[in-house]
Amino acid sequence: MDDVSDPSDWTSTSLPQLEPLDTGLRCRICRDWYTAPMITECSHSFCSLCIRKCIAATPSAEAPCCPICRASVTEVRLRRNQVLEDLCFWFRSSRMTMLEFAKAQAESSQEKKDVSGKRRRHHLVNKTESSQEDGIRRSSRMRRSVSYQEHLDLDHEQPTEDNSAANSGCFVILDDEEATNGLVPCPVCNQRMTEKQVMRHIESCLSVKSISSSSHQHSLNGTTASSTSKPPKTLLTSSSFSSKPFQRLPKLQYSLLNESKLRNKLQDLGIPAHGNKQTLQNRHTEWVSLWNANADLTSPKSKTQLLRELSEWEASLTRYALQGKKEEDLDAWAMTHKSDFQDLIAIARSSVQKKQKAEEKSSVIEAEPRKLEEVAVVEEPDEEITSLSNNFVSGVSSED
Amino acid sequence: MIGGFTKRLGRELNDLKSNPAVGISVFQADDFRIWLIDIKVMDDNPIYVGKKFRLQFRFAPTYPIEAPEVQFVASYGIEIPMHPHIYSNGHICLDVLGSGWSPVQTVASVSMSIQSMLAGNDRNERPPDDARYVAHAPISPKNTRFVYHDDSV
Ligand SMILES: [Zn+2]
Ligand SMILES: [Zn+2]
Ligand SMILES: [Zn+2]
Repeated sequence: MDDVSDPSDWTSTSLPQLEPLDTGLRCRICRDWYTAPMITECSHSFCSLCIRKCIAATPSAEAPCCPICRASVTEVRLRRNQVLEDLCFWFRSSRMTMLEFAKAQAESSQEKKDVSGKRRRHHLVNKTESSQEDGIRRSSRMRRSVSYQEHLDLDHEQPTEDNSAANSGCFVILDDEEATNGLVPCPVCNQRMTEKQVMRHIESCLSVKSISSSSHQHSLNGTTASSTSKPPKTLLTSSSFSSKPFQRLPKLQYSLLNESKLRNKLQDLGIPAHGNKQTLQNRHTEWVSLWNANADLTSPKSKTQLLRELSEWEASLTRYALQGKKEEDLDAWAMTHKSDFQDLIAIARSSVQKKQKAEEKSSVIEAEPRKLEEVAVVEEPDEEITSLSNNFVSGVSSED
Repeated sequence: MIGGFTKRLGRELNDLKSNPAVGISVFQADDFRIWLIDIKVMDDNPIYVGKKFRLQFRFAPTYPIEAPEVQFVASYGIEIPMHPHIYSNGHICLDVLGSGWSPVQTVASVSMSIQSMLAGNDRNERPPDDARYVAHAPISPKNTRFVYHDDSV
């Protein structure tokens, strides 16, 4: 995801007031769009992974606290903030369109200013045309409301008869008496009212509209699916929840486990099990955060993907620790890890083979979480598993 | 949290450059390991008037979950500011750099905290244990267990 968008993108557009909205839909820890936002007991929200990592990094002698307000937080009391996730999703799916629009509008209003500036100079010569200047001012206000209309069109791609009426009529209306009354049409239902009233009315008008017309709903979903790779939300179907293959992993009391018991735990989880106790503990902590945050995603990633993220995390820490050290150290490190990952891949393959054999023998289908994980591994082509271990190695040795 | 700490640092750098706070400027930020930030004390505090100081930020991949390593560095024409919480080796005793760190803090917010710590100071002196500390100080100030001085200074 190479999203380099920034809230400051709005500053020089005609909609600078969207900057705080844009900021508000981003996690304060990673500064990126919320990914599986979780709400704390103090009503702050963070990405699931961000807040889980934050809690995991709290020294054991201290109580985890909210990064914003320092109220104490308990990991098991975190709850998904579904509304925030949806808002974030909807905003992102129309953001590019809105931004382009607001940029174009800023440019055209700049041009307009230039034009009206010229006229104003002209008026200094010919004072009798002062009423016309008034007309220009009003026309720019009218233009703003019509622009909002266009923005709704772009957003929803729903040409309604209301829209077309407003579109074709808007610049003609300027010269009507009604325009001099200061009334503007609601961009949705075309009913006339003052600008202030429109602001209040439009929200209710939109919601009525979307409930009453099912085709409207469809087009909303359609737009979403085409503009982003994320699948449309299925908030009304419960299937995505009941079939969730990932169950939360419990935390471990590391002080109660010796090194070999901890190593066994890591092997059971199917993650690399080399290193001293501290290394094992750090890796386990990271894995639990990755795993549990993944379980909060609407569409969880495969275990292979999580293993890749774990190895990237470990590689980045090692790179950091080895900064300024000799090349040989890096190579030695890479070799150790290469064999670890080859082992893991071998294990993954053999368990897949076992499973296939088991399925040949018996046609009983079990929907155990463990099986589903294995299926996730199977789905990845062999190439990718190999490149995973290569990445793991090259990621380290290619640095510096 | 995809892309990790470099992505967040990229955003911070963008903010620092496009929207700088008064008296705070990026001197060097060529990578995501070490940044040098110059700060000036904006009011007319006689201890710092007309001077510029340089903060060094060192980031680990655990940033921003864990605090960056922050200290003053001396350079040609740039000295370590005099302050009862700033050691002559550049280490700073400030809770926001240690136990007071929160991942919502930023390079900009830390720089501003340090800037206001200087602005509010009227004692042209080093911490009382400066000589002893500097003789035994770890290379990284993060390895020092500072007992934070009370804020009455
Ligand atoms: Zn986040
Ligand atoms: Zn809070
Ligand atoms: Zn309406």
